[in-house]
Amino acid sequence: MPVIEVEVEKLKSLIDKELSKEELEEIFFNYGLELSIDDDKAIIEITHDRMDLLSIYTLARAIRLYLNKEIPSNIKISDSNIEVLVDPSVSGIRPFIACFVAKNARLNEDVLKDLINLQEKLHLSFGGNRKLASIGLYNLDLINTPITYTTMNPNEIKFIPLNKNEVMNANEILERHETGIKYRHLLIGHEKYPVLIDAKNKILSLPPIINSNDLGRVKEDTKNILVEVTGTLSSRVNQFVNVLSYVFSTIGADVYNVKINYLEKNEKVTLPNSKRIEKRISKKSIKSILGLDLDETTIEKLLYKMDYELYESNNEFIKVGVPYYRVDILHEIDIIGDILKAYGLNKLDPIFPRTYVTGSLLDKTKAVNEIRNLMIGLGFNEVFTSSLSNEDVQYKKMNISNYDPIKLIDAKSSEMNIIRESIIPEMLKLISVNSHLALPIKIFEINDVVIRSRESDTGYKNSKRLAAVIYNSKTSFTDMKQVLDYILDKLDLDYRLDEITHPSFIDGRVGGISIDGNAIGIIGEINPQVIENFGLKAPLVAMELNIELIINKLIERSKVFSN
Amino acid sequence: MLNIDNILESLTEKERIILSYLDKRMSLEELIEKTGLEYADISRNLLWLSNKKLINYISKKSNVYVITKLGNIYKKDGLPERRIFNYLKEVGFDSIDNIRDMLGLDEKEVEASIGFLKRNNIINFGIVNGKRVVKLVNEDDKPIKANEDALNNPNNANKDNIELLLKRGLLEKDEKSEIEVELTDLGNEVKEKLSSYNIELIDSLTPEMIINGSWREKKFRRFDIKSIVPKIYGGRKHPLYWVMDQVKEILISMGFRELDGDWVVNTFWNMDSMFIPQNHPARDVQDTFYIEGVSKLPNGLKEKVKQVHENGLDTGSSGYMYEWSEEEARRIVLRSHTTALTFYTFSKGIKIPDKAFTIGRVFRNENPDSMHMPEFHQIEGFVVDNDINIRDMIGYFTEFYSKFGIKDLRFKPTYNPYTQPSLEIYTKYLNRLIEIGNSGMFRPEALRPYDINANVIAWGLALERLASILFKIKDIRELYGSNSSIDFARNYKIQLFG
Repeated sequence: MPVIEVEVEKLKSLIDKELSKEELEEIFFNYGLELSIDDDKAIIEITHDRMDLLSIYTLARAIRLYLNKEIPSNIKISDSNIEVLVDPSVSGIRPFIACFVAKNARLNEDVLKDLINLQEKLHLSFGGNRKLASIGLYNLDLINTPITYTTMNPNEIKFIPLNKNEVMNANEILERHETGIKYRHLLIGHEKYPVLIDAKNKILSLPPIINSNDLGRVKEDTKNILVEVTGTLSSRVNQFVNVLSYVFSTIGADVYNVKINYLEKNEKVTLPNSKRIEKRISKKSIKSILGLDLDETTIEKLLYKMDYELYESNNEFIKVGVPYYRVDILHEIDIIGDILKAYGLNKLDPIFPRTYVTGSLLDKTKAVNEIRNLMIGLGFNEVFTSSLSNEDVQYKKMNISNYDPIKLIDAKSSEMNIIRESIIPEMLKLISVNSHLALPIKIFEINDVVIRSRESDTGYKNSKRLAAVIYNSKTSFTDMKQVLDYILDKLDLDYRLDEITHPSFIDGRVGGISIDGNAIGIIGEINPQVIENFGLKAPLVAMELNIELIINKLIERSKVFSN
Repeated sequence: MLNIDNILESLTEKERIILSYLDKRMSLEELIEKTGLEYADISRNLLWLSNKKLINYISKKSNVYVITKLGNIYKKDGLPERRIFNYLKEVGFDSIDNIRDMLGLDEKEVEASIGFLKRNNIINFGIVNGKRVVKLVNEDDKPIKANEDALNNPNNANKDNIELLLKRGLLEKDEKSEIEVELTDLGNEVKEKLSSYNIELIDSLTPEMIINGSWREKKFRRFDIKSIVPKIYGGRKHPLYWVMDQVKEILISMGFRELDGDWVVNTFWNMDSMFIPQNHPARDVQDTFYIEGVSKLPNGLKEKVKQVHENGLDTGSSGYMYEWSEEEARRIVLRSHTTALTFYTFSKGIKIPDKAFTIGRVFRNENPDSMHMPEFHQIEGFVVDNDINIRDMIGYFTEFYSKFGIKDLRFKPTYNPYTQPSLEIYTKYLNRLIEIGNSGMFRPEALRPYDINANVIAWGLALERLASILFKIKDIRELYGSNSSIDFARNYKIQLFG
């Protein structure tokens, strides 16, 4: 989740200077944001729905409203009469654009820092890392309108990019400029690149890569600003200008809309529009979801705390004005969620469970529990090993040289980058980290491995295993065969044991287990080389059974019985 | 008051032997020598005697002699006096200088050895051609042997020899603390009676004694029932499975039926099926484990899911206003939450009302630390009913957690793409609020593809967090995984819940 950082004093000065650390934490908790205070820094995690809270100024405003320290107001957006002409050629690469103008913005160090942070978080968390939508800020006083959004050959796009002092063409920028390198995958492969130019053919930027160092440089003394958003997802581009214009308005700038003229379709759109969006919410829904009978005055008060306006109310429904920056409101349910937030989750009285149906375990779980009980009765300790493993443990240490594991793509931990196909290696690993314990160590686990399967939609499926290991100064094949005999006898199943060879086991002391001709497992004395590989010093016997068939037989048998 | 007869009846055969030999303060070595018992037997039986207050342990510090580095060299090569003696036995006589060179000895040691041999009348001095010569006059090597014995066994040797070797730097003094035992007054009393106590005691009752009835004529030796016995380990459930079983029992008592599903699923079931947008950061490879391959999508359902994502279908929602990609939904992952199974269950059809749960393993692409593991479990649950709301959900949590003694729950609003309202569940643990679950009411857009026209409340509770609270665990890696502690799994303490 996106995180913003701000000095505690600054945050308090924007909300209420009198608040204590505990009160602040409590307020944010109830609002649904995680606030942690580290010395004099407040770190706030913003949930992924609320891109409008990524500036500390709008965040503080939301909290002031929530605390009834401010009342809802409408954001004023006037006409700038500036036009952006959109050339049809952008449609194949980055088709959408929206802009606005912020005049008399009183920028200072704090505000600039906040704006830069806001852009970064929007790009990363909502802009698909600039693919879906990206933002550019310009010094309006240096721009001659109308502005044109078009495409050009890369080597014709020449300007001084931000924070450089030489003219570069677009190819050079993508090759050499650090921002160019980072985002060039968004343009490479296209014949022409998008570009914004002003009426005097001065280049504003190469979206979504970099601004010009001249027009596209916003400093503390910049008074009038043009904000532009381009992108591949029209809804996201519009959401960004709504949120950004709201932020600029909140920091005290006068906001003006900009007309976008799509030349091809001869379609003109003027954005942003700060008019509240009207939504109808049925009172039945509120009651049905929250379990609360709220009267009209209460609902109105709660709506105000979340910056909504109540337009109309009757017995059936309420009509609400949703602030234009709340781009997360998809459905009336989202407003009901906000009403609950304003009401306070911790004020709700719990209702004792009243839906009556009967509960039950799966037959499979019952079967597994029976097998577990048998193993525990034999004195085995149940263990819980990892299902994520690595080739060293699953194969190399087990003396296995031919393998094809199910790999995890880009796993962060090199200890855990494949899915296990056998439990025994994990149990040997477990014994090796517990080798200081007194012997014997007798352990078992009933759990899943993942195998490839043609029947499954994904090509993979779980397979339930019973694995058991004895580690003792004196132990042999007989000890485990007794366990196998005991378990299968109590499950009333006959099995067959055939001599096989397996690199993890000692030749002549390893068997393949089958039931009705289906191979279901292996039993044997572990090869001393494997014992050494795990850094162990005593003999080991082990078995591992695929118990899917056993479980199914048990379930079928009980069904016949109960009929 | 201690009853002497009871004590007599409690003595093992070996305790009796020890008592009979113990007539003064003795070291363990002495006892071993006198009784002929093994060291382990002696120390075990002495411990029992001490438990019965028949003997006292005394820790004694004594002087011991230890062999020096030079002493060790001579021990190996032979003492100089022995080597001179042997040399003279061969050649009869020789000059001292020559002897020193021939044998490669230190001048000081040669002088000391010659002096020693002379004092014991083994050799004689003389001067030949201005050189000091020595001659063997006596072939009796007893005095030399005494020095050798002193070097080999310095703590059991003649004082004079010891002094000599100390002076020559072949031995040195050291201090050693030694355990000795002596009889207490009670011990003396018991020992006195022991000589006249001749009843045969049964140590282990044998089938033979029962069959032939011989036990009737004998007495059973009294056991010291308070003595410490070696630990044993029985077979047990693993603590995390034990918690799982407790949770299952409670949920079944609350009317929930169990569900089960595979770990590998496609992103359709993991994300799309429940209205998680395709550009949501949780889909990033940084967070979720992806696996090679392409999967099949359920026909009929996928069209509805596509529409609900793009435009909300007929739910009154705007949807995400983007183009839904089938290719993105076909990717294969290790499920990152058990909600994947809930929606799969919806697709198979459910009745209203219904309550179901699963305790399922889920996976996140993270490095393990004390609070997180790349694989962990969620207690997934849902209730479908016509008349059910958020207060009911809080009621389920209150009821469920109170069965584990967790009463102090706090709720925080949160955001999940598939629930609204959404709330996180917290409780106080180690003086901090920790998150123990996430929950909410499924959104209309999430339910629409499955034609469910009722409210559905649902949650994913953190099993390992619950286990950590119940067992007061600070590092989750101790509890489970291939690096966990078998000792903990063997020794966790029983608690009753529910």
